[in-house]
Amino acid sequence: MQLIIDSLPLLWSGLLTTFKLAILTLLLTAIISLFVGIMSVSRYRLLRILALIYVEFFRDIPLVVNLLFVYFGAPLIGLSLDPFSAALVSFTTWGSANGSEIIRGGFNAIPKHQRESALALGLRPSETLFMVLLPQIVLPILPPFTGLFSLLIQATSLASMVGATEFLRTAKIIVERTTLMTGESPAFMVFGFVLCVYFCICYCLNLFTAWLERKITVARTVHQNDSASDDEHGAAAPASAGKA
Amino acid sequence: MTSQPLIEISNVSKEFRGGIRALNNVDLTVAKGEVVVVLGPSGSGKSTLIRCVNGLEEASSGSIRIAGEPVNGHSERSWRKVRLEVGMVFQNYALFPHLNVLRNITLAPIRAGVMRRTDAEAEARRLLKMVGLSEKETAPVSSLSGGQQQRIAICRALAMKPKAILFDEPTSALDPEMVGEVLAVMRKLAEEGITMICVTHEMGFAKSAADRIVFMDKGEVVEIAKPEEFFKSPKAERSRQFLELISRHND
Repeated sequence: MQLIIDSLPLLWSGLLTTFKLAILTLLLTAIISLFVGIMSVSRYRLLRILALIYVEFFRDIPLVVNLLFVYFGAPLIGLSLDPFSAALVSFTTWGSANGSEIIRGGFNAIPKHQRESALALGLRPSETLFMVLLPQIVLPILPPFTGLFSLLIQATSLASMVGATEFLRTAKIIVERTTLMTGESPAFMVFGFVLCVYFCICYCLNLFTAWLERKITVARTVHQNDSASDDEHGAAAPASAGKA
Repeated sequence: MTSQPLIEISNVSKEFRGGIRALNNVDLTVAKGEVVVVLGPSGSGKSTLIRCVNGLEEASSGSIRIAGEPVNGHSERSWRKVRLEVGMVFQNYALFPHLNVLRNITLAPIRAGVMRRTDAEAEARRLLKMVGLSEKETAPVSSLSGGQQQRIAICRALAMKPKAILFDEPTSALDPEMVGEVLAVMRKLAEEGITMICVTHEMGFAKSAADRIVFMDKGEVVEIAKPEEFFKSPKAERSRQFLELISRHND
């Protein structure tokens, strides 16, 4: 235990790298997923085909292989990526290939009449997309996206394979160094600690999205008073519907 | 017809992929203020016909004019112009489930610049009052019955101040006890002189509210007649068979 406390500054710096990698990965994955997902349901055949190629290519190779390929392959095309960037690129491409499929599934699950009625009202195709269709996929794609995000956070530990000094690699270094110095391996304890930290991060993410899901559901199904008047319908709303 | 034609459908055919012919050289002219009810067995092309009017389906051939202006069937922008002037009410209401009742009605007029937000909301409240749903203003769509949703869908179409409204089997998905409340609203609109094309199976509504009945079968307009003539003495054999089938059903 003392070892972990003593190593906290070092572990913390590793954890920060993990956080940085995870947050950037999730952010970029979300943005690119949305982009490719919208392309995959586009009216234009060319965009659909491009999206399909992107998805099939990156979804069909193991993440580790993708990571090694990016890291060792990049110099071949004149790009030299540091471990962090290589990890970011490979996690994001892999993540967004899977994420865009979730988004495509979300769009496909919306009844056809939603798009038709929006267009029939004279909304522009872009307004139909952003004001009618997109808000409707948020709720159904939240659980699968939580899964994907969880997976990506866990996957950041793979970055240690190409030498990014993130949380897992820091832990490994501590274990090796301590083993060399004391002759005793603290591996179980240190990796146990690592396990707990990953668990906590992903668990927090799951709690957050579950909360978000509840909040959106309540907002869409419970009669609310956005005006100040309170009629009997508003009073029927459960207390949990209160605005944050 | 005394007044000028608002919707002119001439020689329109529609062929779906796979060679299914849904419409076959259909001609129909609807005058301003007229209520036209389209009857016919299922699969006769009634829905396809009105969906061609606002471009949800693209006619394979023929021409459509709205208020004298030809619609260029290949441009999304041209269709949008039509849709701003011709509303539509769907069989399954198709309200937006992520918006409350008021936002469902005000979204399109605000986006299209027909009205400012405050005006749009005032108009929405007026319409909700007309259909008897004032108290549902902030209700989420999922909390409403089918009949209530369809009345709100009618308000949503009306909020755009359309020149005409297309009704695509507006009562077919409703429980029987809710059909009346929706038809009552449609009757009110008919009396107010809004141009309407209604695809429906409600014979009572057709008899009492229609100016003209259009009977379709197998993608063709078989007969166009005043309701009293159509229901008493249909000219075409196919109309007679259809009416017989229906009256037998109602007995």
